[in-house]
Amino acid sequence: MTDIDDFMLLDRYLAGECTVSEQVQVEEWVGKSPVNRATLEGLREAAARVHQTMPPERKADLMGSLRRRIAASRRHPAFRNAPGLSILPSRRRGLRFTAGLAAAGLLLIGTSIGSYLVLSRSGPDVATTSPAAHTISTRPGEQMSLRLADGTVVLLAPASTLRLPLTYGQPARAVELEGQAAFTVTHDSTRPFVVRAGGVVAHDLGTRFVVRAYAEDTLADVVVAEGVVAVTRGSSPSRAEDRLVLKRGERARATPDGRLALTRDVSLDLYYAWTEGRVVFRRTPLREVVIQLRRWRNVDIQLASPALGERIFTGAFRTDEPTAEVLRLIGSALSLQVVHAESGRYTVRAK
Amino acid sequence: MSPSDLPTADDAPGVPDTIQAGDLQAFERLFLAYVDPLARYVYTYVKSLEVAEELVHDVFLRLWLRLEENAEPIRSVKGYLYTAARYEALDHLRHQHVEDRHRVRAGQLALTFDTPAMAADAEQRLVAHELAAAIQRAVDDLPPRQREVIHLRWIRQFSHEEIAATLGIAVKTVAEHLRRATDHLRRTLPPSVKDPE
Repeated sequence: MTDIDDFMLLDRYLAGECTVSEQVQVEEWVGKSPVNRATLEGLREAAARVHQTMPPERKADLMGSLRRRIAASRRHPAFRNAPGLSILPSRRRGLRFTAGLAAAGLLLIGTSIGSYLVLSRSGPDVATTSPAAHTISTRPGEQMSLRLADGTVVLLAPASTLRLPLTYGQPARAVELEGQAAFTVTHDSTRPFVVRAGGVVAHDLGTRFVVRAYAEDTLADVVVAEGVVAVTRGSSPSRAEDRLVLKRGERARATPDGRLALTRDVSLDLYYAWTEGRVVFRRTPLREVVIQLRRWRNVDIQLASPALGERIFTGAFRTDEPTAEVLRLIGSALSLQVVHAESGRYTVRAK
Repeated sequence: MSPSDLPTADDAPGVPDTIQAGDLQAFERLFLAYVDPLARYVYTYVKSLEVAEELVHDVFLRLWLRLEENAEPIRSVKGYLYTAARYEALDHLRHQHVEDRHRVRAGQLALTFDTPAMAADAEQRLVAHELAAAIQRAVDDLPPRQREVIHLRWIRQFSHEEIAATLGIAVKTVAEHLRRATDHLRRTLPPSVKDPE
């Protein structure tokens, strides 16, 4: 496949509905030429700008300075018979004093990678320099980037904890996780990288993958973006069904009943969006949406009844968007009412 | 913001299609209707909001002076404005390029723009700019409902049902808006993106 001959594929890509193979197809097409990249980015940016309109006061301001420039040009003899009107009264002079307002007119949402990290610390060499117990935690709304001694990079999601043994890399490379993290592992076949989380063990064979194992979810997911990862229940399982080998776009899920389930063709965007400052939901029950929002922004959101928690939501936000705006959009999508109390607490109820 | 009050040149009644010298009222209506979409259009070239607003200002000033000079009314003002805005943007980029070269000569920039590879690169970038601008214009030309639908789908990634609930329209109307919007946008894209039919 060398060309995208179906516009609807771009539509599905932008809507986050692509399968992994379709996603690869779009990304290859984008990589092929700057024009292709400009097409995709142009569509995304123009769609993002739909609500970024110039305030009426700004328009009136600009109209006022245009009137002054017209008046100035009339007085200026050079404009009486100037062919081609090559000289214009300085636009700089007329506009400079309002330049500070320009930013308010047309704020542009960047959708580029990494522009909305809540917090990103390029960590020091944690494994070898920190004398204390290597327990690194993020609070809700906080995110942290760590570079380990072997070059492995861990991006720790909000409300998550990573434990690094003092002996990390000497020679074993094993970490423990509660919560969520994206790993980009420097491959070393003599010292395999191992993550223990929520009863599963992910054995990296040189790769990028996400582990999501929040205690309140009672699930553990391992999703692979690149390379190969072996996932086991426990450290050395005896049964064959307690071990899975995952490739790109595959997910292992450990369920509370002790099973390990393989899903192919999961949306990588769904699992990696948070690393780019976005939070994405795909047919997610509202109670789960609320749990995730609480992790991303330390706020109090209540559902008026448990039944509301079963409503299904699909949508995407930037992690820096105001809570009120996020809840307003969810409310409009599901025909629900959102009440914002003085105390800062939000309550979601049926209309 | 409710979708029905999105400003656009097309649905604002009384935006003139023709303009003649001295009609300040029509000129102002025209300015207020188009300053925003034209600024977005120019922005795709110059990547600076401040510069974009200045260039749009120049477009309108030139329009007024041209009318005074020629006394010929301009028909299809919208097409004229977009064409003029594009020239202003390209002219601005050209001047910027010349300024960069002067700085290179003065030893302030350790870059050279004179190799064939750089020229080819610059040309490709210009093609990309032109495309982004054409897409921006095509999106601004969509009726407000269609624009809102692509926003909710591509940026918000809402399902059709959620878009329907948000806009208070039927689910099959959402599909129809989406189909029309993508049909319109597809026509602005280069051949490799179009359906083969």
